[in-house]
Amino acid sequence: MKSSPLGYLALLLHAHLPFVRHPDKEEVLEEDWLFEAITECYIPLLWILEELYQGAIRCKLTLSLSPTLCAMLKDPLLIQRYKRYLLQRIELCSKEIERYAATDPERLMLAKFYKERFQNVWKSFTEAYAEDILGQFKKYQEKSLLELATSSATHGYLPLLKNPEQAVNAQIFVAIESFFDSFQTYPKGFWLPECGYYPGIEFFLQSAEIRWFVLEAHGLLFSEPRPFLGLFAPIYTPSGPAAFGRDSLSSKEVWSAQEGYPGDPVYREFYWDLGFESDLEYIRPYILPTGQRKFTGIKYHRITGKTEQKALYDPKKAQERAKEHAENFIMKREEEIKKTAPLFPTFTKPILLCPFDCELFGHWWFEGPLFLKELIKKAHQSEILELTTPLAYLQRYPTQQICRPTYSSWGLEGYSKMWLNETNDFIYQHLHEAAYLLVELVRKYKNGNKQTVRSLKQAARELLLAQASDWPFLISKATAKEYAFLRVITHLNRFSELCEGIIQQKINKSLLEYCEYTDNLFPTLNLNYFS
Amino acid sequence: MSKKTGKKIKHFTPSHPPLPHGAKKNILLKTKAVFSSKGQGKTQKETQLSTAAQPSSFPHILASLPKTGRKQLFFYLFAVDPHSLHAYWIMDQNAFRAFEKSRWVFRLVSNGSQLEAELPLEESTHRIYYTKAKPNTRYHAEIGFYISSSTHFILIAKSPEAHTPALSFSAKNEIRLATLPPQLSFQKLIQKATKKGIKKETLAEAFELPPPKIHQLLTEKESVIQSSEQTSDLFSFLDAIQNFLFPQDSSLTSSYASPIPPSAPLKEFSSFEFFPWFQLKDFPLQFLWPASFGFETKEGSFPQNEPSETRHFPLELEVELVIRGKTSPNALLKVDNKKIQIAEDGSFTFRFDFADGIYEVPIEAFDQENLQTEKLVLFFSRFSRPFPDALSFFPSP
Repeated sequence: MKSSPLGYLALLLHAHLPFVRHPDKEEVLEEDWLFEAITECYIPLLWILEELYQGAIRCKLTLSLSPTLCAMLKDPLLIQRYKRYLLQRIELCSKEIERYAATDPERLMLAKFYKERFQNVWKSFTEAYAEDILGQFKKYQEKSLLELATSSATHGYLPLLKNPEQAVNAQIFVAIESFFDSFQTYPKGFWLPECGYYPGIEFFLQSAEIRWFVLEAHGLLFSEPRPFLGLFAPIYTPSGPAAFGRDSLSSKEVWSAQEGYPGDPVYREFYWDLGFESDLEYIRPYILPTGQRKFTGIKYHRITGKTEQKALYDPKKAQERAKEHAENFIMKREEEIKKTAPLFPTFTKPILLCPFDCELFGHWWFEGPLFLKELIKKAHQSEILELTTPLAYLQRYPTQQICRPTYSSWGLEGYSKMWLNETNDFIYQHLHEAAYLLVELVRKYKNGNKQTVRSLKQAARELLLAQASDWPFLISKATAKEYAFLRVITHLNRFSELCEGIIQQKINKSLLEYCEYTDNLFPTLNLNYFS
Repeated sequence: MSKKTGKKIKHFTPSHPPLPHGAKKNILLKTKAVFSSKGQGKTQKETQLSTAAQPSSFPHILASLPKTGRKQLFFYLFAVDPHSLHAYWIMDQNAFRAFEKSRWVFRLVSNGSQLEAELPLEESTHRIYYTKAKPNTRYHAEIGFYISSSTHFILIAKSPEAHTPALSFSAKNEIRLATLPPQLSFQKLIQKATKKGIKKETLAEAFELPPPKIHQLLTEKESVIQSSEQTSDLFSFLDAIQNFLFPQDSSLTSSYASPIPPSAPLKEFSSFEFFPWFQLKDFPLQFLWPASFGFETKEGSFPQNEPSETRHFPLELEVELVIRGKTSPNALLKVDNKKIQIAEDGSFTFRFDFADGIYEVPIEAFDQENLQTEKLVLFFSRFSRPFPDALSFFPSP
């Protein structure tokens, strides 16, 4: 530990995927979202943590895990399917090695590279981790490398769900309960989905014993009164939970068109994938049974530039560049802290909070985990800054300014436009109506017979699933739009039918069992959160 | 029930596009209304209110919710951003029909009583966007009607309030500091606050430091802002800090240091527009993940780093490999085709630089007496990487 750093850097990775589980179908494209994330993001992250731990490198990371993601990572069916997915990739790599053995040494090297990588993932997942990724994250929290946080139950965008308030309450408390199920401890941090904040949300967080959350920069800067230490210190909301502002500058360096690291020409090209490049007959066993192509995770090219003539990927060069980028990132953070620290009063020290979507590191940006590892190593060497977590920082510096933040998000234009616009606004009327109905039914029937209570719980699950921020986002972006539509409709229809059964006191047992089997998350759901 | 706002009623003149062929009347249409403040004799203003288009497929496949017998009126208003509001409502259509000869209107009221906008309503309209709202303002919406030519407004429904977010720094500069003991749960802190007569909603106030203590804390620093310190003027000191912490050129801190122009899209917050050369036709978008983030690729290189040697203490290795052996004292010895001196007892030592790499070193001894040759080949390699890097490019288990 450094004797006295000038300031702190808190890296926060937010890991989330919507609940995608289709037990009634043998192969569903969208389930690959989870499989790709495990392979490219979560397991590489665990490798890094292990390596840093073994190397006695000081590492402090914050990882928020959405409850839907946790539910999927624990699900036996999805785990089974994930293993099938991995084995298929290893088999495909072997075919690729055979294909290029005599003809193309460069592609051969890359095929071997991928095979070794998939094999390592397999070995870690099945042997070292015993198919329990959450258990590994828990282990690193216990070793103080990680602070685990949660997010709302199904990643509902809370500013648009607050009618009725019980909907927000349930999203928060079901998440807390689910976190406890996974980690046998309660979270102190809460990732507001999409950094979506509205004044008043902190009351619910206080009730849930949440000590901190994150705001988009303007959500904190435009607080009242004006936060005198800007983004370099958290504030206390009037009801107690602290709010940290996102350091926009560092976010920009990772994401933006001008300064973003992931767009470097030597990095791996995300979109050029064997699943789309190769001959259809050759790739057929590894794509959808319908013949619809999909990503395989085997990508031979680097970004190269704005050209269709992509050069082959060179892992070593990419590795070097990731190190350079990590060094550059830390250097800039040190500069920020060096300039800021002398202005600070002695009761606190500057902190930069840099939140990122976890899936950026490894999936979108293949070299991201390596960047992260190098970044942590550089921070370990730094005399100026030290890695911390929001909770550790608040424990060390419990005196902060009291301010009221302003409504904000990290979405398009900094507010709610991405989740509420002319393409997706029709959702909310149904979500709000359904939430009111559920609140009323819980009030009336929560002490009903066993089947009624089961139906109420499943209706609550269906409503929570329909509330996910992913659906309006995907509709808004016209990305997987049909799937998103279908999901909202499906969950609301299931909700309606279940409620109809409760009201009529004619529970459709087969429907209930089917819904429980399909949408099986939150097994210990507590209906009181809706009342 | 009626409500007077104390302001002249403004009229909208909506201009509806024709219904698409086959469209049902209850499918919402996107209309662009032109605001006309006739009452104040002003020129026409461009759109602020519009009703929304609705995908026609959705309502037909979504089952309607069962009714519980309780009559529920839904009328909500949401702030979308500092300048935009969205309202929707579900009303009993019979109410409309009962007063269909009346002039139905949607009104937007700011700060409790200021009528800001008004739009004639049709039965088919169920949602509205308003795009000229004022930041940091309380709004509510009203639906009601005027009977024939009367100016008497009959209020039918009123939405809950929505508060548009602030779009600039607060003018309030007061500094209230609190120390919240991290080891105590909120439950315990609430108990302490309650004893002080403070509600849990304002819990932090119970742990607020007294002003003299705050003044003391704020001036206990190793600050370089000498002029402010010398004056002992807390607020001039704070101004100096804030001028630094909120720079206008955003070179140090947030890109939000200056208010965000409402019309300027912050592209870096949007997603999937990255990889501008990415051909959508090649990859159906349904293969992409849901993600709220985005990043863009670029061609150019990033700014050069300061060389690492200047920033970290050096750790360089020079490794030598020593090969010791013994052969016939009269032998002629070659290691890697170089002649090597042999000691009287036939022993020899060979030392060479052992840099990273793969080596294949032939060692050949020729016995000049017996004219015999013995040959060995040594294979070895050296790889050094910063500890604790894994053996391969990516860390492996």
